[in-house]
Amino acid sequence: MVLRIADAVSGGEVVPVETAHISGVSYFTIGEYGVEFLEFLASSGAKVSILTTSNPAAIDLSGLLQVDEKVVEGQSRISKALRSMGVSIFYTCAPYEFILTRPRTYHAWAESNAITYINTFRDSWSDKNPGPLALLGAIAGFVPKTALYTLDGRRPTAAVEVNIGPLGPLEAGVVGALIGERIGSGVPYIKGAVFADEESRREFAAALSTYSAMVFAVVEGATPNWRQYLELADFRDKIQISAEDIASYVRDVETPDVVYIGCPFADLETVLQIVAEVRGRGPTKRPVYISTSPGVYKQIQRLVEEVSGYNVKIFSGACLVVSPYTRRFRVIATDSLKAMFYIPKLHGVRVVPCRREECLELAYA
Amino acid sequence: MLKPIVRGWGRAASRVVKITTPVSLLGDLDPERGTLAGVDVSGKIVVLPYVKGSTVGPYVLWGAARRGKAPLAIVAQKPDLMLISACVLAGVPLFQGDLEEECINIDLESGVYDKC
Repeated sequence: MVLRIADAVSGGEVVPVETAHISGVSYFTIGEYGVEFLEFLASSGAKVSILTTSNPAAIDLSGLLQVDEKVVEGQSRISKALRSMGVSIFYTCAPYEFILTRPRTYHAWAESNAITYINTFRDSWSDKNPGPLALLGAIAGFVPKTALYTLDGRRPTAAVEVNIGPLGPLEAGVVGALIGERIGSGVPYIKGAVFADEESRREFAAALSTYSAMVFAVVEGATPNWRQYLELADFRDKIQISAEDIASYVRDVETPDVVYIGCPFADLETVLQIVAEVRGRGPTKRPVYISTSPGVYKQIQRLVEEVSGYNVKIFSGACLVVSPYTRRFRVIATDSLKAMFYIPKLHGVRVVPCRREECLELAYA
Repeated sequence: MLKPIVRGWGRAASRVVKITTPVSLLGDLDPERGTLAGVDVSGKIVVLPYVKGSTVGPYVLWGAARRGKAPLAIVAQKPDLMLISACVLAGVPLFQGDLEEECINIDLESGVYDKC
């Protein structure tokens, strides 16, 4: 099947991949037909031939997000099928946290924020493979050699100037979304962007790929081999992003029912910062939901229990984008541009943007 | 002649059904009934501009094929990686081009066709 897809998209050429990361593993998003397909593949004896990880599911690991019986049953069928094919079911959207991909190695990933992260901050090469293709590629060990698996296809096409100081998570997300909306396709070459922390890099990667078809940007000084990309550049577009652009994006702050941090999954530092803050201030008035990766969750399990008494709900393996649990809320405040895009579309719930400090203030308001 | 993107095999005579707006395989395709945007496409050649929407789309076309409700072939003006993956998964031949709503004889491998 991979060869047949390659015939259609890359003249039959394929590229061997080191790792795969599959999306479309939440029962909420793939539904009955997706489950049927995974079970069909598993029952035919298919096995992955490379390290393969999986995206978040509809249910979190500790059962904090309660969903109905049908979803629980569907999700367990998915897990069973994936496990029998040899997929490492880590249920994370940030596999780059523990899979340290090297520059100029090939990967078949299917979660857009993760693809963008390794392309942009590691110069590891992956195209945006549809969920089923990444899985088939994991079984075959190769995927079609599309443009992003060639140096020529990674040539920067748009010069972007960012004239704002260090970008926190919200600002980094807005910059990613603005570049995505204004350029749409191609490869941006970004000058002047400094990311404040790991969370900011994650938010940037998630927003760029949510608001456009792009999954690769060259960030001057940050992307490995950026000098070579600059030499290759063939700029057709030129844009600037200013502080005013960002301000106009972050407007109406409405009182939320809950605050949500962790799309993509929050890293350890972010979780610890929030924990430290609430330990100092006491229980929040509105619940704070934080989704993180199973690895981080296991490390801080004792803290998770402690802060649950402060109205802070840390969970793992699922997120508020892919879980139907989200539908019980009316307004969610978050620092994630990706969550801002998907939650209203998938669940019909309003989402308002806030910087992390402001989000916490809203939780105490 | 239509440009073959995902080749099938053999020849078939079929009615052409035309859908003029972009469709999402998730939501617009009913795999139990074999309808796409409300139009019966089961066993027919369906012409559409392009597909949009969820990456889950390929599973739905596959589900329709398993139930014997998939189109005989799809003709798209702009086939993309999503539609190509869906057609390969479901075993539905895919061509690039355009057709009028009529009955045609088509070679599912080469895309060569004439009126019935």
